[in-house]
Amino acid sequence: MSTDVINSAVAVLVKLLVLLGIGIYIVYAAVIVRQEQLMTKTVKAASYKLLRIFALLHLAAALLIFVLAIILL
Amino acid sequence: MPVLFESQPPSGKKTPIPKKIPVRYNSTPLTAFVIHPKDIRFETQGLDEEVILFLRQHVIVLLPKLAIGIFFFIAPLIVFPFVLQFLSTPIEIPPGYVIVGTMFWYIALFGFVFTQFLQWYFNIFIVTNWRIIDIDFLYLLYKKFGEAKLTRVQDISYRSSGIMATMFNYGDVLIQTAAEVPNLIFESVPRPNEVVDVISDLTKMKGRRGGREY
Repeated sequence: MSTDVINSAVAVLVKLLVLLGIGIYIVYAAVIVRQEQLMTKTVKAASYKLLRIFALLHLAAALLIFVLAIILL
Repeated sequence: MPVLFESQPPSGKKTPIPKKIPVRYNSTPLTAFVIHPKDIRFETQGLDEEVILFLRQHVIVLLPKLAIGIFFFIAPLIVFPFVLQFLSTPIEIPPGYVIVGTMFWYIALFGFVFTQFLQWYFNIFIVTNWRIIDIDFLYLLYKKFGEAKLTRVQDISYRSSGIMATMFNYGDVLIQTAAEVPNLIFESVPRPNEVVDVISDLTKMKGRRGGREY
Protein backbone atom coordinates (compact mmCIF):
# COMPACT_ATOMS: atom_id res chain seq x y z
CA MET A 1 0.00 0.00 0.00
CA SER A 2 1.47 3.34 -1.00
CA THR A 3 2.07 6.20 1.40
CA ASP A 4 -0.40 8.43 -0.48
CA VAL A 5 -3.27 6.00 0.18
CA ILE A 6 -2.40 5.86 3.89
CA ASN A 7 -2.15 9.67 4.04
CA SER A 8 -5.51 10.17 2.36
CA ALA A 9 -7.13 7.53 4.59
CA VAL A 10 -5.76 9.30 7.68
CA ALA A 11 -6.99 12.66 6.31
CA VAL A 12 -10.52 11.25 5.80
CA LEU A 13 -10.47 9.71 9.28
CA VAL A 14 -9.36 12.99 10.86
CA LYS A 15 -12.04 14.89 8.92
CA LEU A 16 -14.71 12.42 10.09
CA LEU A 17 -13.56 12.74 13.69
CA VAL A 18 -13.66 16.55 13.48
CA LEU A 19 -17.16 16.41 11.97
CA LEU A 20 -18.25 14.00 14.71
CA GLY A 21 -16.89 16.37 17.38
CA ILE A 22 -18.72 19.34 15.87
CA GLY A 23 -21.86 17.18 15.53
CA ILE A 24 -21.75 16.38 19.25
CA TYR A 25 -21.30 20.09 19.94
CA ILE A 26 -24.42 20.86 17.84
CA VAL A 27 -26.41 18.49 20.09
CA TYR A 28 -25.00 20.35 23.13
CA ALA A 29 -26.01 23.71 21.60
CA ALA A 30 -29.52 22.36 20.92
CA VAL A 31 -29.76 21.19 24.56
CA ILE A 32 -28.84 24.72 25.70
CA VAL A 33 -31.67 26.15 23.55
CA ARG A 34 -34.18 23.64 24.93
CA GLN A 35 -33.04 24.10 28.52
CA GLU A 36 -33.25 27.88 28.16
CA GLN A 37 -36.84 27.51 26.90
CA LEU A 38 -37.78 25.26 29.84
CA MET A 39 -36.17 27.51 32.42
CA THR A 40 -37.81 30.60 30.95
CA LYS A 41 -41.12 28.78 31.32
CA THR A 42 -40.31 28.21 35.00
CA VAL A 43 -39.33 31.80 35.71
CA LYS A 44 -40.22 34.55 33.31
CA ALA A 45 -38.22 37.76 33.59
CA ALA A 46 -38.20 40.62 31.09
CA SER A 47 -34.73 39.78 29.79
CA TYR A 48 -35.55 36.25 28.58
CA LYS A 49 -35.72 37.28 24.91
CA LEU A 50 -32.07 38.32 24.96
CA LEU A 51 -31.08 34.90 26.33
CA ARG A 52 -33.12 33.14 23.66
CA ILE A 53 -31.41 35.17 20.94
CA PHE A 54 -27.97 34.24 22.32
CA ALA A 55 -28.90 30.54 22.59
CA LEU A 56 -30.22 30.45 19.02
CA LEU A 57 -27.22 32.37 17.68
CA HIS A 58 -24.93 29.86 19.39
CA LEU A 59 -26.77 26.95 17.77
CA ALA A 60 -26.69 28.68 14.37
CA ALA A 61 -22.93 29.27 14.71
CA ALA A 62 -22.37 25.59 15.58
CA LEU A 63 -24.35 24.53 12.48
CA LEU A 64 -22.41 27.01 10.35
CA ILE A 65 -19.07 25.65 11.53
CA PHE A 66 -20.25 22.12 10.67
CA VAL A 67 -21.05 23.19 7.09
CA LEU A 68 -17.76 25.09 6.90
CA ALA A 69 -15.87 22.00 8.08
CA ILE A 70 -17.46 19.88 5.33
CA ILE A 71 -16.43 22.46 2.72
CA LEU A 72 -12.93 23.37 3.97
CA LEU A 73 -11.57 20.12 5.35
CA MET B 1 -61.40 85.40 66.82
CA PRO B 2 -57.64 84.74 66.62
CA VAL B 3 -56.43 82.16 64.12
CA LEU B 4 -55.21 79.18 66.06
CA PHE B 5 -54.23 76.95 63.14
CA GLU B 6 -53.65 77.74 59.50
CA SER B 7 -52.91 74.99 57.00
CA GLN B 8 -49.60 75.35 55.17
CA PRO B 9 -49.62 75.69 51.38
CA PRO B 10 -48.13 72.69 49.52
CA SER B 11 -44.35 72.96 49.55
CA GLY B 12 -43.87 71.26 46.14
CA LYS B 13 -42.35 68.19 47.71
CA LYS B 14 -43.53 64.77 46.51
CA THR B 15 -46.09 63.08 48.69
CA PRO B 16 -44.46 60.06 50.34
CA ILE B 17 -45.76 56.77 49.01
CA PRO B 18 -47.87 54.96 51.58
CA LYS B 19 -46.24 51.81 52.87
CA LYS B 20 -49.14 49.63 51.80
CA ILE B 21 -48.55 50.37 48.10
CA PRO B 22 -45.11 48.94 47.35
CA VAL B 23 -42.85 50.53 44.79
CA ARG B 24 -42.30 48.11 41.94
CA TYR B 25 -38.97 47.80 40.19
CA ASN B 26 -37.87 46.45 36.85
CA SER B 27 -35.17 43.81 36.68
CA THR B 28 -32.21 43.69 34.33
CA PRO B 29 -30.31 40.55 33.18
CA LEU B 30 -27.77 41.23 35.95
CA THR B 31 -30.25 41.97 38.73
CA ALA B 32 -29.44 39.98 41.87
CA PHE B 33 -31.63 41.70 44.46
CA VAL B 34 -34.97 43.31 43.83
CA ILE B 35 -37.86 44.02 46.16
CA HIS B 36 -41.34 43.92 44.59
CA PRO B 37 -40.20 43.18 41.04
CA LYS B 38 -42.54 44.43 38.36
CA ASP B 39 -41.68 42.06 35.56
CA ILE B 40 -40.99 38.66 37.16
CA ARG B 41 -43.45 35.79 37.22
CA PHE B 42 -42.92 32.10 37.87
CA GLU B 43 -44.64 28.96 36.66
CA THR B 44 -46.56 27.94 39.80
CA GLN B 45 -47.47 31.46 40.89
CA GLY B 46 -50.99 31.71 42.31
CA LEU B 47 -53.45 34.42 41.27
CA ASP B 48 -53.22 36.24 44.61
CA GLU B 49 -49.56 35.44 45.09
CA GLU B 50 -47.18 38.36 44.90
CA VAL B 51 -43.41 38.24 44.45
CA ILE B 52 -41.95 40.28 47.28
CA LEU B 53 -38.28 39.49 46.97
CA PHE B 54 -36.35 38.19 43.99
CA LEU B 55 -32.76 37.08 44.48
CA ARG B 56 -29.87 35.59 42.61
CA GLN B 57 -26.30 35.04 43.71
CA HIS B 58 -24.21 38.21 43.79
CA VAL B 59 -22.83 39.10 40.35
CA ILE B 60 -19.33 38.94 41.78
CA VAL B 61 -19.53 35.10 41.82
CA LEU B 62 -19.35 35.28 38.02
CA LEU B 63 -15.93 36.92 38.18
CA PRO B 64 -13.77 33.71 38.30
CA LYS B 65 -15.72 32.25 35.36
CA LEU B 66 -15.28 35.49 33.46
CA ALA B 67 -11.54 35.39 34.17
CA ILE B 68 -11.37 31.82 32.76
CA GLY B 69 -13.27 33.05 29.71
CA ILE B 70 -10.83 35.93 29.18
CA PHE B 71 -7.85 33.59 29.52
CA PHE B 72 -9.25 31.17 26.91
CA PHE B 73 -10.13 34.12 24.68
CA ILE B 74 -6.56 35.36 24.50
CA ALA B 75 -4.99 31.87 24.55
CA PRO B 76 -5.06 31.27 20.75
CA LEU B 77 -3.62 34.74 20.15
CA ILE B 78 -0.79 34.75 22.69
CA VAL B 79 -0.31 31.37 24.38
CA PHE B 80 -0.62 29.00 21.38
CA PRO B 81 1.95 30.68 19.08
CA PHE B 82 4.33 30.82 22.04
CA VAL B 83 3.88 27.08 22.77
CA LEU B 84 4.10 26.07 19.09
CA GLN B 85 7.37 28.02 18.75
CA PHE B 86 8.92 25.87 21.48
CA LEU B 87 7.47 22.59 20.22
CA SER B 88 8.66 23.13 16.60
CA THR B 89 6.74 20.11 15.23
CA PRO B 90 7.50 18.97 11.66
CA ILE B 91 3.77 18.45 10.91
CA GLU B 92 2.21 21.36 9.09
CA ILE B 93 -1.42 22.02 9.97
CA PRO B 94 -3.54 22.64 6.84
CA PRO B 95 -5.12 26.14 6.69
CA GLY B 96 -8.65 24.65 6.63
CA TYR B 97 -8.09 23.07 10.03
CA VAL B 98 -6.65 26.31 11.41
CA ILE B 99 -9.73 28.29 10.26
CA VAL B 100 -12.28 25.70 11.44
CA GLY B 101 -10.33 25.06 14.65
CA THR B 102 -10.11 28.76 15.56
CA MET B 103 -13.79 29.37 14.83
CA PHE B 104 -14.81 26.28 16.80
CA TRP B 105 -12.62 27.37 19.71
CA TYR B 106 -14.40 30.71 20.02
CA ILE B 107 -17.87 29.20 19.57
CA ALA B 108 -17.13 26.62 22.26
CA LEU B 109 -15.77 29.40 24.49
CA PHE B 110 -18.97 31.36 23.98
CA GLY B 111 -20.91 28.18 24.80
CA PHE B 112 -18.96 27.76 28.04
CA VAL B 113 -19.43 31.36 29.16
CA PHE B 114 -23.10 31.33 28.15
CA THR B 115 -23.77 28.09 30.06
CA GLN B 116 -22.07 29.52 33.16
CA PHE B 117 -24.19 32.64 32.84
CA LEU B 118 -27.39 30.57 32.45
CA GLN B 119 -26.50 28.59 35.57
CA TRP B 120 -26.17 31.85 37.48
CA TYR B 121 -29.20 33.46 35.85
CA PHE B 122 -31.58 30.58 36.63
CA ASN B 123 -30.29 29.93 40.14
CA ILE B 124 -33.12 31.88 41.71
CA PHE B 125 -34.60 32.55 45.12
CA ILE B 126 -38.09 33.99 45.37
CA VAL B 127 -39.98 35.15 48.42
CA THR B 128 -43.70 35.67 47.90
CA ASN B 129 -46.45 36.63 50.31
CA TRP B 130 -47.10 32.89 50.83
CA ARG B 131 -43.90 30.95 50.41
CA ILE B 132 -40.17 30.83 49.82
CA ILE B 133 -38.96 29.25 46.59
CA ASP B 134 -35.50 28.01 45.68
CA ILE B 135 -34.90 27.15 42.02
CA ASP B 136 -31.53 25.61 41.23
CA PHE B 137 -30.11 25.07 37.79
CA LEU B 138 -26.92 23.30 38.74
CA TYR B 139 -25.88 21.62 35.52
CA LEU B 140 -27.35 21.90 32.09
CA LEU B 141 -29.66 18.95 32.64
CA TYR B 142 -30.33 19.26 36.36
CA LYS B 143 -33.09 21.42 37.76
CA LYS B 144 -34.26 21.51 41.38
CA PHE B 145 -37.36 23.24 42.71
CA GLY B 146 -37.75 23.59 46.48
CA GLU B 147 -40.36 25.55 48.38
CA ALA B 148 -41.47 26.19 51.94
CA LYS B 149 -44.58 27.98 53.17
CA LEU B 150 -43.88 31.07 55.25
CA THR B 151 -45.98 29.57 58.06
CA ARG B 152 -43.54 26.63 58.21
CA VAL B 153 -40.42 28.76 58.67
CA GLN B 154 -38.88 27.98 62.03
CA ASP B 155 -35.58 29.76 62.07
CA ILE B 156 -33.70 32.12 59.82
CA SER B 157 -30.12 33.30 59.92
CA TYR B 158 -27.31 34.42 57.66
CA ARG B 159 -23.57 34.06 57.44
CA SER B 160 -21.10 36.20 55.58
CA SER B 161 -17.43 35.28 55.56
CA GLY B 162 -14.39 36.20 53.56
CA ILE B 163 -12.90 39.37 52.13
CA MET B 164 -15.05 39.42 49.00
CA ALA B 165 -18.28 38.77 50.93
CA THR B 166 -17.48 41.58 53.36
CA MET B 167 -16.46 44.01 50.63
CA PHE B 168 -19.46 43.35 48.39
CA ASN B 169 -21.96 42.63 51.18
CA TYR B 170 -23.18 39.18 50.25
CA GLY B 171 -23.63 35.94 52.16
CA ASP B 172 -25.67 32.79 52.70
CA VAL B 173 -29.16 32.95 54.15
CA LEU B 174 -30.14 29.78 56.01
CA ILE B 175 -33.81 29.00 56.51
CA GLN B 176 -34.93 26.11 58.67
CA THR B 177 -38.43 24.92 58.00
CA ALA B 178 -40.90 22.30 59.17
CA ALA B 179 -41.71 21.52 55.53
CA GLU B 180 -40.60 18.57 53.38
CA VAL B 181 -37.51 20.54 52.46
CA PRO B 182 -35.95 20.94 55.92
CA ASN B 183 -33.44 23.60 55.00
CA LEU B 184 -33.31 26.20 52.31
CA ILE B 185 -30.03 27.93 51.66
CA PHE B 186 -29.84 31.09 49.62
CA GLU B 187 -26.18 31.04 48.65
CA SER B 188 -24.11 34.20 48.14
CA VAL B 189 -27.09 36.51 47.93
CA PRO B 190 -26.59 40.27 48.17
CA ARG B 191 -27.62 42.13 51.35
CA PRO B 192 -28.31 38.99 53.44
CA ASN B 193 -29.30 41.07 56.49
CA GLU B 194 -32.11 42.72 54.52
CA VAL B 195 -33.24 39.33 53.19
CA VAL B 196 -33.47 38.02 56.76
CA ASP B 197 -35.40 41.15 57.81
CA VAL B 198 -37.92 40.81 54.98
CA ILE B 199 -38.52 37.10 55.59
CA SER B 200 -38.75 37.60 59.36
CA ASP B 201 -41.32 40.37 58.92
CA LEU B 202 -43.37 38.25 56.54
CA THR B 203 -43.22 35.25 58.85
CA LYS B 204 -44.34 37.36 61.82
CA MET B 205 -47.15 38.85 59.75
CA LYS B 206 -48.30 35.37 58.71
CA GLY B 207 -48.12 34.21 62.31
CA ARG B 208 -50.33 37.10 63.47
CA ARG B 209 -52.90 36.49 60.72
CA GLY B 210 -53.07 32.81 61.42
CA GLY B 211 -51.36 32.06 58.11
CA ARG B 212 -53.68 30.32 55.72
CA GLU B 213 -52.05 27.51 53.79
CA TYR B 214 -51.58 28.23 50.14
